[in-house]
Amino acid sequence: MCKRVACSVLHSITHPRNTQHATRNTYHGSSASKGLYKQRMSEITVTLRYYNIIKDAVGCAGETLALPAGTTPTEMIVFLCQRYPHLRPIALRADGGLSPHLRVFLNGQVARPQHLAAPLHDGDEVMLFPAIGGG
Amino acid sequence: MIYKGYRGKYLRINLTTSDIQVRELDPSFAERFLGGNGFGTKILWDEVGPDVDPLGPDNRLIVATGPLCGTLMPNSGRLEFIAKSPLTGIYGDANAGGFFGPELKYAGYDMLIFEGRAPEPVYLCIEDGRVELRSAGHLWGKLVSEAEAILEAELGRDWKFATVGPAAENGVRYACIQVSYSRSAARCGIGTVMGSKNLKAIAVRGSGDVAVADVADFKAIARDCIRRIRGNEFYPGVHRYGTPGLVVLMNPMGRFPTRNFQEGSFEYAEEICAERLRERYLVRDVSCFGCPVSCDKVYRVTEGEFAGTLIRSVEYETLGALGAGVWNRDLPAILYANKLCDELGMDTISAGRTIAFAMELWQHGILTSSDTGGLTLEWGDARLVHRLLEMIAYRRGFGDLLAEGVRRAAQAIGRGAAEYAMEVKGMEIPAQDGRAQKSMGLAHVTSTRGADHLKGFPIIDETGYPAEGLRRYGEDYMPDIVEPLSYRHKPMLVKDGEDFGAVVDSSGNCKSGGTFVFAEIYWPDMAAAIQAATGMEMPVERLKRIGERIYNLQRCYDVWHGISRADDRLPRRFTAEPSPSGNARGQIIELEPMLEEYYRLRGWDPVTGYPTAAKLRELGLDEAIARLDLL
Ligand code: SF4
Repeated sequence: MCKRVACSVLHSITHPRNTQHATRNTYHGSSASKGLYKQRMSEITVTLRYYNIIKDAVGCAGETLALPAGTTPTEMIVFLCQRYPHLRPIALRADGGLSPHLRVFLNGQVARPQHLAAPLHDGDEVMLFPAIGGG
Repeated sequence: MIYKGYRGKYLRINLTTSDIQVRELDPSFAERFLGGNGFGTKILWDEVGPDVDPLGPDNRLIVATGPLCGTLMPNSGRLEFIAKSPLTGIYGDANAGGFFGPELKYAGYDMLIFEGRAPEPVYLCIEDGRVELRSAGHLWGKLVSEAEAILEAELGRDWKFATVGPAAENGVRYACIQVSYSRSAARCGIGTVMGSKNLKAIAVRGSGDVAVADVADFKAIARDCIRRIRGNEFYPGVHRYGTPGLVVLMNPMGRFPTRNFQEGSFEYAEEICAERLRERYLVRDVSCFGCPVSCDKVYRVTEGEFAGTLIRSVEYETLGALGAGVWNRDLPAILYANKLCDELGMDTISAGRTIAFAMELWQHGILTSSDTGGLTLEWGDARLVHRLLEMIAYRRGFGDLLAEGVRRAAQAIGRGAAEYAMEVKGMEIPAQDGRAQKSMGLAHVTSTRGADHLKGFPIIDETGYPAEGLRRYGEDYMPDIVEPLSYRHKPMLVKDGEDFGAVVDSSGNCKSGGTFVFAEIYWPDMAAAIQAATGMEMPVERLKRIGERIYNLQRCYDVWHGISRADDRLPRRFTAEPSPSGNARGQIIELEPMLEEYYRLRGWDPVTGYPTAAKLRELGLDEAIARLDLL
């Protein structure tokens, strides 16, 4: 599902003038986050880009996601792991915390722990990389 | 009696006289310098002084394996080539994977030392105890694959080759040695030295084995390392995409040099990345000897002008140097350029960077068509890159100047060209912009072979290694030690990497596998493996001292050749022009405070940059004190 939808989304990202294929996926979340959703009342849209084995696990190169306002990158990644089970062993530790090897870039900048715990904003772009390194 | 893990013999080949001697390996030599990189360093120090022309017969070409090479230890198929570099005029080495190193040991030899110059082109043929120099007149001038195909037809199957191409024959200062066609001992013009000796190839086939001292212990250590490498979080990504997987990560970091380091991000990075390579062109995953990682891949271009290009071992560095560095977004054209470099026998990094340098000079009007023989050096002209690579390899026209490398070309051009020469100590800078990761900036400067990421290979502050940073260095150094934009504590990281890297490169192990990229196999594992393989008592402190000894002797070699603190510098672009790119935007490299701290940790004189007599005495390098007049 993701592959078909998100590839057209990525196409629209790569070619900004070609927006007719853009499709949003909405994060309805768990019952707890549904509560959160109601409280927050509003929605933001975040663009995701997946790389390397994360792209393989998710099945596409990117997508846009509608999220409850106030959602943090960490919460979003936990949601993504529920939605894409193959992502879980890459992105999360056994105890459910974020893997220290996961690289998150927020609007082109390295997301440090404080950014991962702060609310995302409408229009943010998040890049996700698995453990890769070297030169 | 030599320790286990070694074959205990090496060959000294005088190419001038065709005299070949089999020598015994001295156990105390192994105790002090371990193997590979250490062996070559000591031989260069003993035999090749400042008066020796790197391209003259008195230079040595040392081909050295280590005690783990060819054993069950994972990632242990590497070997070292060492010589005085014709590119930098100082210590030079290059490392290659594949199968040649293990085969050399199976033939019975730990090392080859070439001296002199053959009157006519030759190749060395080694089959166990049978060693002979044979005419290579029919191979001279051939591309690498052509030469190896002829050798295979003559010798039969199962031979391993180390071969140079036309670039080495023609004295291009950054020619490489191709190891069984696709693996490159790339840097420092190590192939140029081989070509200058009229040595076209080395062919080896062996039927022996490598005995280890404690079989049960060694097996257990190797098994444990394999298990940990396979279970390491870096394994899946590196296995599946290899080093090209770094393109898309380094790009937002601002560490992916673009247009000769004018930027650190390439807006078309996703058109030249590993994901696209795999999706469109992958044939299969391949591996070096005894390696569970298989970071290596075979690709075939299936469409367009370059359809049919079949290539192995495409690396991040090449996608940088022949892609973003020259603003080339045409992936098949990059693969074809890579293939040209492999066939002609040239380091893709130095070749690509030299072309990028010329393109920037064109951009600023320093070079014009009267300098280039009518060529227009526009960014992104992939066909021009192909044409220039051939002109360089055969030293034709404008290619003759570029064959000299960035530093010499800048000196010859004058007119302010040196301002854009992205080199350190004469070596072109790889695809690692240190403004995005401060430790890399320092590593380029303190590398004993000139600009280089692989000597210090600091990865802990690449952002993906917080757990390893904490485990290795402790709470006191967090978070700076894992923060790419902080320069604090980075000298410690670089020094540790240089010493550990000297050991890894001396043992026959690979830095792209468990040791550096996975940050899994560290000092205690290497010490245990070397002890079990050789039977040498090897507590961690002793191994650390060996690494430090090797690195200090390389520095002494450079000092002997006139290197001092004044040469420990970066191009102005890195220290004065803030990066415009990605996570590095606004950053420069704070070199001076890092260097101060680095010299202090090394025990080197902060004014001269020389190792102090006290440090050399501590490392058992008293011989260097008098030679360098350090008393
Ligand atoms: S990690 Fe890659 S380069 Fe190193 S030995 Fe394995 S396949 Fe070769």
